[in-house]
Amino acid sequence: MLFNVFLHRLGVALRIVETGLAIVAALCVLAILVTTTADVVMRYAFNAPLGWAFDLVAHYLLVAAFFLGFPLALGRGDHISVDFLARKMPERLTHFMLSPFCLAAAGMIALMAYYASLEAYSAWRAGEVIAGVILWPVWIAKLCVPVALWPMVFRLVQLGLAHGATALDARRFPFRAPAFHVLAD
Amino acid sequence: MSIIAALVLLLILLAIGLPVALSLGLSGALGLWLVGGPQLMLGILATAPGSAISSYELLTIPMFLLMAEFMVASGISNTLFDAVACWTARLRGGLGIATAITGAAFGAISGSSTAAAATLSTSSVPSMIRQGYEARFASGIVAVSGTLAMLIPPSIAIIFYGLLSGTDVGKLLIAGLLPGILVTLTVVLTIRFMIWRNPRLSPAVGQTSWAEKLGSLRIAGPFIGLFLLVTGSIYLGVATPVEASALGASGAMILTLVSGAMSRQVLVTALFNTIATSAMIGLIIVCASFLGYFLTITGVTRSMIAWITESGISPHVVLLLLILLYLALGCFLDQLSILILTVPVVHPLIVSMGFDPIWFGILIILLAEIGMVTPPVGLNLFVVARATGQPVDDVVVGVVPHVIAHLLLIVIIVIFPQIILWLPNSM
Repeated sequence: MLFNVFLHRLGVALRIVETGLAIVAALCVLAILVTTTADVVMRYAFNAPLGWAFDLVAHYLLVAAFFLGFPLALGRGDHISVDFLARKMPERLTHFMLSPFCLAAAGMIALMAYYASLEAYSAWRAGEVIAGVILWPVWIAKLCVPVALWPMVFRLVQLGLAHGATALDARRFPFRAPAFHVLAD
Repeated sequence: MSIIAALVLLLILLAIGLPVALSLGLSGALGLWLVGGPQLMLGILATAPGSAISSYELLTIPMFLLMAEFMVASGISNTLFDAVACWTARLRGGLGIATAITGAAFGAISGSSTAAAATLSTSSVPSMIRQGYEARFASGIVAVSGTLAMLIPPSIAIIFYGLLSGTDVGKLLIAGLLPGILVTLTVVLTIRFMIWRNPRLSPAVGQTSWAEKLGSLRIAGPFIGLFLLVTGSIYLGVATPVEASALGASGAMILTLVSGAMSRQVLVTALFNTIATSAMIGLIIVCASFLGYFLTITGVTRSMIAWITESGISPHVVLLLLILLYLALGCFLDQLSILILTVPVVHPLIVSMGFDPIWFGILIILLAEIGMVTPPVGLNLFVVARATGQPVDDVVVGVVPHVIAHLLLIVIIVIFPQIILWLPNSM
């Protein structure tokens, strides 16, 4: 029971983080839309393109819009998977096999997140900037990567534990984590 | 040995239903470990995420997705079928023809074939069945018409191919236009042929007044305007694909505002769906880059090309084998998975044999269209079956004539590559 409560609470906490990051990503998508459209209109209608638009969009908004959506996509179970064979496998076996690989994937993403954190930190310490009319600091864009990847690590750990517990005893540990769509179907 | 280990792990992970992105990442990481030790693997895990999501053209994906979300939210796409049907109702099989044209029009504002099939299922199938169409015939038309969204610009699958292969995304999008029109015509001709063979498939012919026809132009106008804004600006070189996609999304947002359908909920749903799908594609690109580095380091692609060149096999035989491979993969995998698994290996091979990468990209998308309607994993079959309440088997029977016609069109496009290359070469 305690284990179920732990998984549930971890899931709730992760959902809050995922939604928060998704809101920032959504604002970035809106900003891309407005900035790029304004740049095109200003260029053709007033012959006055926005000189800073490309740098802002390419170096910051692009990275934030993609990466900060990663946790939401994982949490909602939006990732595509090949479910042709998995559908035909016994559900318990599917849980049993998904569990270690979710934990392995958590390990892989954790390594990515760790190195991305180091990179962001060293860019901040060194005061790295992208040369141009405006000196854009590098660390802000680099920070988006670990900020997005760490919640994924915890979500994958939660999924791995939930799959494992369900494989052991489906009645005591009914699968409550957001499933990959193979199980949601 | 390392290649076999990575490939076996990839197949196992895909088979158990682990997301494609994570499967690619884990198998790529294992391969890198085996071929260069932990240092190589850690080095690539550290650098790949940032470099994979750095291409400016990636922005076309969220912008085009947002455009489609707004157009669906505006409700205009739901009424499009009725608007087109006004003009074709007097023809025998007119509603079927309207479905095909609506599928193409839907493709002009959305790159998702499943979204097109779902929308068409709810709007056109009930109308066709009311008019006496045989249910299998009607659902087959809808399932195949939904696939047109993959080809007619803007197409997410085409952009994805462009990003994976390094081919010019703007030219690729324009290259999809003429084949898209030809596929639409093929669907229309197949419908007419089927009705000519068996008139009971579509017994009745509808009537519409000129007032209805003129009224329908109000619905078609925004679609045509948005299509011209996006595709026209890319073709004329007025805007880059990214700028055109942003203009399209802005136009769709204005249409949603004007139609009165915009609300906070609609905006939030559109944005969240957009970032979730973009993130899904983004994570695949990041994780696929591990496998890409692994393949590059092992030199497997180079060795394969050298082996094929030395063996003296005709390029057309290789092409035929690739077409058969894509048809087989289409039965089991979705189009993004097929592209991510094959393009890094097949694209260099195709270029080395002298084929045009733009032509080949469109050919793959045409083959993927067939995959969308072939069992056991043809997604559109299930979307239509679920939306119309018909057995999947019936939808499969209805789609068979269209698959045969589609294959004939592919033969024509292989023989005459100019069909695909004419428009992009004139840019």
